[in-house]
Amino acid sequence: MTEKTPIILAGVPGDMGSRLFDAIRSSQDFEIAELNVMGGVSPVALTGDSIRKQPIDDAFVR
Amino acid sequence: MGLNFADAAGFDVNNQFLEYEIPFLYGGTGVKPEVESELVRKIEEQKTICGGFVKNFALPITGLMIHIEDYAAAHPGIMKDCVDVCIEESHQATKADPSGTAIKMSQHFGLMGAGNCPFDGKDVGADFRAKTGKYKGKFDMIRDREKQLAMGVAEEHLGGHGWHQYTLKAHSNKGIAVIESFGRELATDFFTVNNPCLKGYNVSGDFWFNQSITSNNNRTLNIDIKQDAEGNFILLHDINGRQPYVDGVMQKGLPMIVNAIRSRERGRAYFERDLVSVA
Repeated sequence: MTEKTPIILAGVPGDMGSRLFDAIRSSQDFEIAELNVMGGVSPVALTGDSIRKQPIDDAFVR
Repeated sequence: MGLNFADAAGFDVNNQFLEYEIPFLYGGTGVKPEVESELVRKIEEQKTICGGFVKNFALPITGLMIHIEDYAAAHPGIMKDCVDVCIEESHQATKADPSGTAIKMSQHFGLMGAGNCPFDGKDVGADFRAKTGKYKGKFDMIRDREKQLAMGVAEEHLGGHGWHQYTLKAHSNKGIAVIESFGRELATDFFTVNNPCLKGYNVSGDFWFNQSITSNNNRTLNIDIKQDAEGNFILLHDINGRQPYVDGVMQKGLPMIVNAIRSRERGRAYFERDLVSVA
């Protein structure tokens, strides 16, 4: 895989979310494009031809 | 692509994925079947994206459930009047509802006609959530910390584990033969290193009622079949912590949707059977 697949990660708080977050970030095939820990996809991030990259908050578990 | 693990309250995120034409994988639980079916219908009708709906990413457990579902479909009523099933499940104390996995498995044993089963063959394919009242008095739902520790649940996993045990008791020679046939089939066709669901797991066993599957990483997932002192057949599977689910998402779940995207597949919903067949 030459280009990483961007992932919009939604609705995964707690230990499961932390583990998924870490697994995706360390993956050679995928990357985090957006986080929505509490659920809900931001329309701003989804418009356009591709998913706009969002700054990632390292403090994933809120 | 989207990856959503929200519970029922966050299911609508999937509708947003569809609206913005973003292929997604959903792994949450507790959603009413009609809500999920409606989204599946929209996906198939609109043919803009594909979407995955998987309730258990622990591949060996999902594979086991499918295997027993198929066995039950091929052998309806085989345990009728000769085998009883006893179902026990243990989860973190915060889990108030009965195990969905145990309910599903009891449907399969019910189809086979096992006695003491909260579900029978007529329940197969029905909305089992609407029938969960039937588990009362039939399931042993263990949520007590002291009992869990006595069972062998590690203290670090008290807050997140899923242990299931199904004990099959024969009450006739016919029942003994039926159980042996069931156990031998499991040992031969499921507990095998050639089973793709078990890739990366240790598979061992020396007899049909002595088989074991364990994960390499600190025994986070185990499946065993064995006999107890009274000669009853025991099938048990347990998960400790969340890592087996994460492994399933990364190794099979996300690649399943990526494969669909690359093949420009639209209008298809993917489920557990698709997950376990991902190469």
